[in-house]
Amino acid sequence: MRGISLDVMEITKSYGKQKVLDKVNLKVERKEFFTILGPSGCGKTTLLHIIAGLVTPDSGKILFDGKDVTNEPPHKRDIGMVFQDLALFPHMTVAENIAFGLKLRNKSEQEIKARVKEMLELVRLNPSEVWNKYPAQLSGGQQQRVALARALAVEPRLLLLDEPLSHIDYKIKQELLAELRRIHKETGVTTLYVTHDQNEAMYLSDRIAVMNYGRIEQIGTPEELYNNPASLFVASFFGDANIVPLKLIGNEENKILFARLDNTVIFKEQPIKDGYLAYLKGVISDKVFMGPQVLLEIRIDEKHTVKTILPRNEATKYNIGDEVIVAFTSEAKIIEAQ
Amino acid sequence: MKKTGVILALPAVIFLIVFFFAPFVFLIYKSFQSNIGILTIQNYLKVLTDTFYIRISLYSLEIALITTLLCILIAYPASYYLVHVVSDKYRGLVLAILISPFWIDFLIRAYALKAFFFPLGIKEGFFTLIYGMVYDYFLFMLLPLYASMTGVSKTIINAARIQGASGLTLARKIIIPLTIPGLVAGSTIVFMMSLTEFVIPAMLGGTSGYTLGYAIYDLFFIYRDIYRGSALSVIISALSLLVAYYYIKKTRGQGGIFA
Repeated sequence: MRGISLDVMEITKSYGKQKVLDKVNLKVERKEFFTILGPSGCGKTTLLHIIAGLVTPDSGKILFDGKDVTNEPPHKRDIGMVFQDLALFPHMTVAENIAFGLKLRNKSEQEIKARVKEMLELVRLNPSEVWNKYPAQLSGGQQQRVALARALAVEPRLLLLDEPLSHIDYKIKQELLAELRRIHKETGVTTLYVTHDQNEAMYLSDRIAVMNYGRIEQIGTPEELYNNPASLFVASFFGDANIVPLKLIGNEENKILFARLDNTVIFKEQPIKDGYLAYLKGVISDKVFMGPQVLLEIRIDEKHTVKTILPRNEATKYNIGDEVIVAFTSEAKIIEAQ
Repeated sequence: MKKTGVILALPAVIFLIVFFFAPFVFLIYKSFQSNIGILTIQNYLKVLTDTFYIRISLYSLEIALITTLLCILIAYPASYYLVHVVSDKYRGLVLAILISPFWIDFLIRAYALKAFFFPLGIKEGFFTLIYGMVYDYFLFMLLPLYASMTGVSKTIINAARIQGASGLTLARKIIIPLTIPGLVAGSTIVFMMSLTEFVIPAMLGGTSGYTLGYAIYDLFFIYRDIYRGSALSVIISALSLLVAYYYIKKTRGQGGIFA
């Protein structure tokens, strides 16, 4: 596979008065798995469509391997794309779907056959079983596998995935996530993935760009985003977190304490050991069994609750209604309120 | 339950039998009668061996085919434009503008075309005839194609474009195969209606306007030979049914003749 690098430079796009993308910049390295993560309506799909050439930006540039392709039509960009809706050609068999782009590239009959077989094996579908089937005869998961095979068959320079798993059942989704990870490792194609699901993003990506209201809030590895979110939005959107206004503790007005669930601890009594960031009194208001861990919700006052997770055996010490003291480990951060 | 359904459908069935099939059966009956009331196949033999009617039939066939083809050529881009280019906001308006001439009676539309060609100095003949036919039947092609086109999602078109298809390849490989049902419906309606069209050829055809519809009209109302007129009508009806049957059969299923 030929993986290219991708530059998105100052891309701006408005629909009427609404600014969908506001000077978006990002760089995807060769062979990288890069994810654009954001809530629906944040502009991530529009950005992907601009990169594919399906939408023309108002201003800004798209570079493939340093070469400006902003004005190239989609059929000349030599990319692969998998869509959220099932975009298989309903009037063609599985083999014909995968062969579609190869035929347009004037490959020989033999080459096409071999490539279709290779692609079906790559996405773990049995060639002899699905070869002559029509998309409507396949399950949702199988259809997405075929869509992926079709996108990869043409040896794209760049693979774009537009929320390909959002309509798929949970179990099949987990399976396909593992497949995507494996296929990216095997092919090494530069991949740009768009999703609103932080778990998908965390599982798959080398790096993630978090988007909100047409702007990129932060770019980083999943770990960087988790440990050092640059804004309150990133903190709350990427991974579960407790966000506590510092005025609850009595000091500074405009600051916020931000702590991951595993940086939030509870005690029955005020601990002697120091090194915690703050102490709050609360009452356990909910207890949720989640397999190996138990999620506890602690009510601080009318408006504020915090959450923490405990190993199953330790959680047996706490019951709903218990008065506890909440503290935060030194990994918790104090940030400016926006 | 099944019985109730039959009873409920009965009025409609009776209506169709009395007002739709009965006249047609009467027409078939008359076509096998001589002018003194004896059963005969003479009418058919006379029509089928008369080179005049054969020539007229072929000419009408040609007009119907040209009309159908032109309607396809215009309605395809129009329906694509309506579904995939015009924004949702203006789609209704554009459709209304396209349909608006059809709120007027077709006879008045034919007069309007006459009044349109005259000051331009365009003589009535083959061109104005075809123009009038296409103008009259265009909508019958557009609406089924439009309905089919709405079933072709933007995503499928985008997927094909990204795979490397554009322009005619996109039309031939994706859009046409996926809109075959609309194409078949539209073509069948336009072809069958234009094959026996009488008013447009009579009003806009000039010397090129003597078509089947005209010939049948003459047999009935000028020569007062309803027997031969009936025979000719039955032959034409059978012919268009056959064409429609063949066309639908040929294009049924995935892909059809264009795949």
